[in-house]
Amino acid sequence: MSDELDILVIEDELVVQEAADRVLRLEGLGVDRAMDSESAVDMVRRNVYKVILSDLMLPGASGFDIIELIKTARPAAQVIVITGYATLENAIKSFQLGVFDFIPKPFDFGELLGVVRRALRYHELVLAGSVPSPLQADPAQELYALGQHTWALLDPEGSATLGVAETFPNQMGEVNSVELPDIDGYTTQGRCFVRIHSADDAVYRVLAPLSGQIMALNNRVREESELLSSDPYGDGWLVRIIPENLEEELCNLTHR
Amino acid sequence: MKSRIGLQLILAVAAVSLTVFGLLSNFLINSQHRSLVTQMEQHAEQITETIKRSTRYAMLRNRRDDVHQIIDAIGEQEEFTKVRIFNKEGEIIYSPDRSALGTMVDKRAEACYACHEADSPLERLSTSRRTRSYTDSEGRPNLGIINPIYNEPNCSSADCHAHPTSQSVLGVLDVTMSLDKIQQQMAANRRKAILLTALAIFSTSAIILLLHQQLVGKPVRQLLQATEKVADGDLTHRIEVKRNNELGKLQTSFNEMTRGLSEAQNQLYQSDKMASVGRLAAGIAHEINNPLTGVLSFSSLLLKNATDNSELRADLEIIVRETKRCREIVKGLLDFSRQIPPRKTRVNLNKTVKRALDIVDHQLAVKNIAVTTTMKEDLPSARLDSNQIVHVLINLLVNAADAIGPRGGEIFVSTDLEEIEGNQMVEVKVADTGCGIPLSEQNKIFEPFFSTKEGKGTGLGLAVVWGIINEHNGSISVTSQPERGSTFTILLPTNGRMELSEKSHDHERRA
Ligand SMILES: Nc1ncnc2c1ncn2[C@@H]1O[C@H](COP(=O)(O)OP(=O)(O)OP(=O)(O)O)[C@@H](O)[C@H]1O
Ligand SMILES: [Mg+2]
Repeated sequence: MSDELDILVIEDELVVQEAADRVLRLEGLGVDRAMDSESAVDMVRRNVYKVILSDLMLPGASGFDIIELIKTARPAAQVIVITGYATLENAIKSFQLGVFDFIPKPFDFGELLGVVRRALRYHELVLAGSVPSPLQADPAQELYALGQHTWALLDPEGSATLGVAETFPNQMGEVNSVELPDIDGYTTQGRCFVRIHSADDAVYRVLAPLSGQIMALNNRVREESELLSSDPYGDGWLVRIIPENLEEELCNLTHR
Repeated sequence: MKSRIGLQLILAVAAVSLTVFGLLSNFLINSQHRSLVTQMEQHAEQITETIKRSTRYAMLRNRRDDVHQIIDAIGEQEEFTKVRIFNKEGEIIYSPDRSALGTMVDKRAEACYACHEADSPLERLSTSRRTRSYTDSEGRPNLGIINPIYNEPNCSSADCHAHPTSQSVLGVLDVTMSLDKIQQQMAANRRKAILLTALAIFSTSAIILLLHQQLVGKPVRQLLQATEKVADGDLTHRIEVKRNNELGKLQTSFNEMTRGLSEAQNQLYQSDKMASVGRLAAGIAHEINNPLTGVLSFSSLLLKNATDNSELRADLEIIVRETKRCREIVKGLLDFSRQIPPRKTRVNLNKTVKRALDIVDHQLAVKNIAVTTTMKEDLPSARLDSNQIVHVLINLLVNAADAIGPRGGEIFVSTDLEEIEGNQMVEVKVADTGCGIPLSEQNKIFEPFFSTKEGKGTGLGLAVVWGIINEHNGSISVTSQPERGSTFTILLPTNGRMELSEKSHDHERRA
């Protein structure tokens, strides 16, 4: 599709719009902007965008309505939700609507870049029809995913292993370092628990699919980051936790 | 008199003692009077007999001078007002008062009345009928006694003039004695009785007044004052309880009531304050988030492009770092105002406490702080977001460590089961031997941005703690003694019903 445009930013706050615009243009991306839901709907109808960044709180309409509209009108477009702190819960729920990822305000240059790059790459995969299906090592384990990129494997003993989907490393450039949480720390569903810094200045925030107490870290991925892509559901796992609120949180995940 | 109860009490007691003492002394005086009069009568009777006997011989011999002498001698004695003898016709024939001789006594006069009441005079009379009390013309009381002189064989056979035998009464001896002395004595007695009664009433009233003042008046006045103070909004006033009687207990429970009231008011005020501060914080945080996005993304962008200029790079690094700190503060503020509701599951508080301790264990050991834990066994589970409670406990533990400082010290962590107003609550206490918190600051420490750690603390720790506990429908309170240490107490509801089924389940298993 030659008339495909890069990015649409739907955001009522001017400074956030400008920041996104500036960062993304620097990447050489074309950016359109919409201030309210009406013009947003209008632009989505008229143009085809690869990636759409949208605030959930917009004057005139609920952000969910716009996401639904985008996903039905333009299924290939990847939606990234910009959230204020207050809409974090809602953002997690919006994964059910097929949202690619979300980025909480305030974000820095690298964080925005990271998520947009990944979305663009995923978009390419979608267009090429080559989205890989999960390579599950042990079929006895239940696999749940949060959005497109993180997963949780439920062990029969009650613990859960968290990691990134095989698509995730593909969407990143060369990995510089993997920032794992503290052992004894906690994960909270929808909050970043691992940061992956790439060679090209982008920061990839990995969101925890489940909340719980961390009982083990896979330190191997610090040295051998290629494990993330070569064996994401096996040796490439990130942390193992004891889930805290499993039943409720599973509702926000998709069963694979 | 200020106290009306006291007055009423005294009046009642005075009335009762007046009646009792009055009746009693009246009775005593009357009977004394009666016995004195009887004595007097007997005395008079004896005297008349004596006169009769002593004059008998002179009369028989008809020696009138002798009779006059005897009568005069007796009449001289002070106790007798009158001594006279009159004959059957009522003519006075002997009397110390010579002028009265020969005068006739009216049969209707008090001396004769007893016998001459009926038409024909009586001849024999009992002693009591022969005596009479009366007041003379000068108003002096008198006792009169008559003693008839009867005809005797000697008389009728005497050669002088001889009384005929048919005549049974020859004349009457009439002696009148003054009752003045007795009357005076009685009056004196009456005065004494009145004086005594008055004294008794006065002293009992005084004792009652004193007792009432001490036992009732003072405590009631204190209660009254305290009630007025409370009504004026002063909930800090306490009554000094001195006695353990009913009023003392009333005072104690009044004190307890005011204490409870002040606690409730304080809690209400605190939660009101925290709620409005929370709204304010959330509002500010939301507003700040957007400009912060601008600052953070543009400054990080500049930083990325400033690779060659190391000085600029260093400056920009500071801007980015500090903006990220702002981001964390805003996150803390929003945490405090509970934008995220807790995700509650049934957990055992002991486990949560242990998790928190495990996390800071190393940190505390390094700071020379000994931790003592006392866990209540068989603690029922409570519905809580254990991540958030762990967060709460870590905050409290870190604060405790900060308060203890580099010298080292002790932290005591304990859990317990409490029942508050019929609700089962689990309790966790974190106590330290640190610097303590002055009373004036104890209300402020939960406010966002209240910190005494100059630059090292943002003052959000306890605000977030408060927010989390509030969202759990629990409570957090602090007691502290400066220089000695502080104790933070958290109470969280277990929500009764499930406990019951769990307990009975346990029971079955054990049985
Ligand atoms: N255990 C304690 N002993 C003595 N003072 C305390 C204790 N806990 C809290 N405080 C006082 O309460 C203030 C507020 O505590 P809070 O945890 O809210 O903020 P902070 O510790 O100063 O900063 P932050 O927790 O945000 O890093 C502290 O600065 C301190 O003065
Ligand atoms: Mg603190």
